[in-house]
Amino acid sequence: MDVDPKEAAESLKLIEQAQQVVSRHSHNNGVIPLVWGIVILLALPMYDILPPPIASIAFFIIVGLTAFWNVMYAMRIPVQPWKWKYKGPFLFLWWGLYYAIVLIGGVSGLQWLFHGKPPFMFTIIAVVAAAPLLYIGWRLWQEAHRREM
Amino acid sequence: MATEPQKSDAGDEGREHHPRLELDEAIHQPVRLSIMSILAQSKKVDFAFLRDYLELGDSNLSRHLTGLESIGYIVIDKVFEGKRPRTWVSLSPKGREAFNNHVRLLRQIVEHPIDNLKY
Repeated sequence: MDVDPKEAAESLKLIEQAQQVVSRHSHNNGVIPLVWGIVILLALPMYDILPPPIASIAFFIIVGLTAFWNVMYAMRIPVQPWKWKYKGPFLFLWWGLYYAIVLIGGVSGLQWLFHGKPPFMFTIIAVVAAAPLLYIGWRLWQEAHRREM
Repeated sequence: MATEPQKSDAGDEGREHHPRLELDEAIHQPVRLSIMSILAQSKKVDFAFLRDYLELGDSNLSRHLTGLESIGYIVIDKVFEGKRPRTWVSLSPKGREAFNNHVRLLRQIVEHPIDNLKY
């Protein structure tokens, strides 16, 4: 087979392009952490604007629907990557722990600091709680969509 | 990653061959190279995704996949997920080794173009 350096370089470029496609269409695309980050960012502040029982119902409906979407999305994803850039269950296990600390610590800490419930308390907690998911999701998304061929 | 050109073990001992002569013809064709590249980064890939990404028809992609399967480079797994039939394609260990070797040779050709003059 006759392949000159230019052709070989083109083949390597084709390989790189194809490999980035894998990131874009697999769990490494960052969509799941991004969506969960956005959901937390939008759902938790409802406790600041709605009465607690209604906010709780709305919160659990949104979380339930997102969990259903997550299962469907994961089932339909067309590429299972060779290497995961994050281990989904581990990420959410650690994040769950972090969320519990932020929620309990945030509620008690802010109430102690302001001698009562400060305005937008749950919005502040939502931003802090969602930040790691949004950061990880955004980094993965950027990596999967970068164009440097 | 680049290494010296391989030495032949058939007959002409001591004679070095240019890496281009060792490229795997079964996977060098662009469609097959794309298939192998995607599979090399994946545990398994959906047939429909490969078809859509490569912009091929079912039969055309099947032809390429059957060709790669017949030389033991890929594994095709037809399953039912619920009521939905799904075809997963994955790289075999032999295919992974062949692909890695192919990439190594391509890099060698790109990184040492001056070696062309020796052959």
